[in-house]
Amino acid sequence: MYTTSIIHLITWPILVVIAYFIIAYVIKKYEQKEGK
Amino acid sequence: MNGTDTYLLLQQYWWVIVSLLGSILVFLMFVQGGQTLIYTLGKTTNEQKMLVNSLGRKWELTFTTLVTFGGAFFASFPLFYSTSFGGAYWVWIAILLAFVVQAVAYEYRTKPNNFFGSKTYEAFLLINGILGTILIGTAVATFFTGSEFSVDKIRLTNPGSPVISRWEGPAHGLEAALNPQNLILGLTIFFLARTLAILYFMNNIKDDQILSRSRKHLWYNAMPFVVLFLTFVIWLMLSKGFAVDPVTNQVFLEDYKYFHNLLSMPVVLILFLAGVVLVLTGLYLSLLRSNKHGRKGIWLTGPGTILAVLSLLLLAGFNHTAYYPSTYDLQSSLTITNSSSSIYTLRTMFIVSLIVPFVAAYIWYAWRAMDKKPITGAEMENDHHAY
Amino acid sequence: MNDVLDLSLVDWSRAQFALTAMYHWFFVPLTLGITFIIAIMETIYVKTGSEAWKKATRFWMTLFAINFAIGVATGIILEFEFGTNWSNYSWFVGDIFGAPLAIEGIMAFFLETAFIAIMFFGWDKVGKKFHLTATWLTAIGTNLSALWILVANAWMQHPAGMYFNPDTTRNEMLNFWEVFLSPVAINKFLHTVFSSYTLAAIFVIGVSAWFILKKRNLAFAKKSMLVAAIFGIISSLYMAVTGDGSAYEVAQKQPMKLAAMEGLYEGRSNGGLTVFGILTPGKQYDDNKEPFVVNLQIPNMLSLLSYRDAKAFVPGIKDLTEGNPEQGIPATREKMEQGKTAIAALKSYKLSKEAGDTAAANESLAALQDNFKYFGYGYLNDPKDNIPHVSLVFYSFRIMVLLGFYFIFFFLLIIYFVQVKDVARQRWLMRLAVFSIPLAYIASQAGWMVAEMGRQPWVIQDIMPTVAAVSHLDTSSVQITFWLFVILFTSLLIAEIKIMTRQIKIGPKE
Repeated sequence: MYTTSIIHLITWPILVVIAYFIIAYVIKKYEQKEGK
Repeated sequence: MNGTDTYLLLQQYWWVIVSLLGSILVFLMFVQGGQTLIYTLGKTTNEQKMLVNSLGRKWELTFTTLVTFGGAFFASFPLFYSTSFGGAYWVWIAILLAFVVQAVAYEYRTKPNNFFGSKTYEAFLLINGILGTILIGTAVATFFTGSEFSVDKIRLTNPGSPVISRWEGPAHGLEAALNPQNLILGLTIFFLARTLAILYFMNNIKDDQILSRSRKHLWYNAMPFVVLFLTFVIWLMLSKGFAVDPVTNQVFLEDYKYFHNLLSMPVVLILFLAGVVLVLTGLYLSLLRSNKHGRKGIWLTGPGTILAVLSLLLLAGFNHTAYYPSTYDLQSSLTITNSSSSIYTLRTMFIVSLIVPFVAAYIWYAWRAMDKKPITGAEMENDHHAY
Repeated sequence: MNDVLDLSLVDWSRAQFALTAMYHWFFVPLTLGITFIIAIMETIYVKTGSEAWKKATRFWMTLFAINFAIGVATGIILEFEFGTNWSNYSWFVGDIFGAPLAIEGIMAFFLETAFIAIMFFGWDKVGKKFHLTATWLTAIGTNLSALWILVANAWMQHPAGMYFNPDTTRNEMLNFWEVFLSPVAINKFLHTVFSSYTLAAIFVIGVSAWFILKKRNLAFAKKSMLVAAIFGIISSLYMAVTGDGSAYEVAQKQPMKLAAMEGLYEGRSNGGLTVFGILTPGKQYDDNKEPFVVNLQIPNMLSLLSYRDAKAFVPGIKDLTEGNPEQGIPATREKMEQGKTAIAALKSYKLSKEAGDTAAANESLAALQDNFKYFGYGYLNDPKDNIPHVSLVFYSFRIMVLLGFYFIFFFLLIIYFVQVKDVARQRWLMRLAVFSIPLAYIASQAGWMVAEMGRQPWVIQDIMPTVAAVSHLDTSSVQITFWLFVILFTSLLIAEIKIMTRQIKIGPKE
């Protein structure tokens, strides 16, 4: 009955975690390039 | 067990929780007490820095407890929240302002480009220490002495003037300070906070100068505290109290009501005596023992404070007593049965309250991680986030 | 104090709550977002062991600490202000409203309090992993706090999960999940936190840009900027998505607010969305002036967004005030009649019960239940009271959305230039970045203007208007506290900005 709301709510931690992984990856690539 | 029994049980449970939060708050107000002692116990800048930082790690815990106390009181006894806060307006505004200024004081006091200067923030800490303790004590005393207000729910049906609760005096709460019984509790809390602070410093800071000054000032604060506390308690035991007839729900004045409560509730009596014994033992240790045990007084006086305050608040609300009495209209007085939330809300909140032991556990864990070693002068020099 | 409620008491009480809320909201979004940015940076530090990342983390943490303190200072007022200035509201709905506030304290405040001490002071006292955990827990704590208070606010906009108990004369909670998991609440929470993350990202980018303009700490600034820009683009995109969700909820549950947001007087099907509009200045509801001087619309878009159906009828202010029988919309006057009936029924119910007249009591109870839906309307004096301040809501909404889309574009610019070009050479972009900081704050406040001014006169939609919600105080008392807060909070704001800007000038510590 509240599944939509719960799924909706879970997008919050999921997006934060996704943000971390994307950032970590981009930063790694960036630092490799800068290091060159 | 039928619905009404469950409801009463929940109401009692929540009165215990609110009282417990209140008693923990009083203990944690050692922060406020400590703020009034920075220049008394610390004579050099570094000593003062140690004292400020010793408090600075803990001030938020007191603040959060105050906020949670308010929130829990609102959730479990909304009629109290609305009647008292909307009525004793000036007292609560004064308390709030005293805490608002504390919240920025630690962080902003020694920061560069300080618009108001560190003296202003130190004044804020002093204001918070003095007003916070005395006003909260005075406000809580009205649980026993009463205030002038009326509650009439049918007012809601008058669109011209629908507010159900009215404060019947123009001073909106400030008149409480004129009642000596209220003031005595306010001053008791003030000296108790300072006493607890001194015990806390003796345990949390490793410095000989501060330690010796602490011992001296412990005498100056513990003695007034004990005297004031005894005065309040004796006065309370001799007072008329606001009793509720369990059958008719009529409120009436009863001689020696709080004394009767104490006798009718042996558990509360034991808690109270245990609390008093612990407080006194802790004081004895720190006043009269110069060995390492002398620095451990807080471990006894702290919990003792919690037990003693808890039992006093239980005396206010249990055993058919009106915990927020009205001297203007006795029948407007609030009891735990006529001012609580619905059974559904209390039950829902009860389930939420089950996480509290877990909360207490991680607070304890975090506290220990930070306080493994006492604060020293050297640490102040090396820590660049130090207040 | 005389027996009739003084309207200026209501206005000053509203002004005070708005003042204290806006001041608090000045600081909260940065806290909500920067704690996660810091947590992400610290995670990179722990994973790579790079001291540069530790330095960066500690710098942003210093700024966070300054912001957090004043966030706390401005927040405590609000918790108690429901009681001090809105005591009738606190009584009328406290059974439902008090719970999220208490949960906020128990679940969220203690979490941030416990671990923030470790975060600030525990660098040399605890291990790296424990410290990192403390940082993440602090971030989660602040956001959980937002969750519960927004659940409470969402309940004001769309009350659910409760019923009115005439014996206790108040609303009582029936279903906690309906309150907590209300779509309005969840959408509002997501939209609010992700817009906060957007603000925090812009703040970090703007401050970093300042360093670049000063030709200082270039490596630190570029990296911080990149972290923030990615955090920002993800956040702002989701902010837009949830913003649409919020507007959809508003259309369903608060049609008058939507009408005000769109400056829509005459309802219509195939309603167009105003992309750019200028309202006729000084337009009153009942003059016959054209509502708009300029109105550039995308056809059908309003109906589409509001009801997911281009043909749907979107009611305007006129329809909602005068009624529209075709669309099944009652006039405000009708609702006021029902409201007055309900209030009178409550009164007679209580009196009959007291007198022991069961028959009369039951009759009154039936009348109350039939008419309770519009209970709050019984306190209104004039149908026009039901109309919020159109131009304020309309323009706030435009500003918020316009800036929101700008921020998305801005983040993309930053990401591109940091990675593909040398962002340090793009001084125009760096200046734009600094300038974007105040824009973020403006957008942030504008959003709350829409939410709270748009719901006027309701403190609980349809159930209780502000006039019935205040405490029984002298207007002068509220005036005094209003000005006290103005002086206090403005002083603290000045102090905070000075300290913050100095810490930025000092920069990351060696």
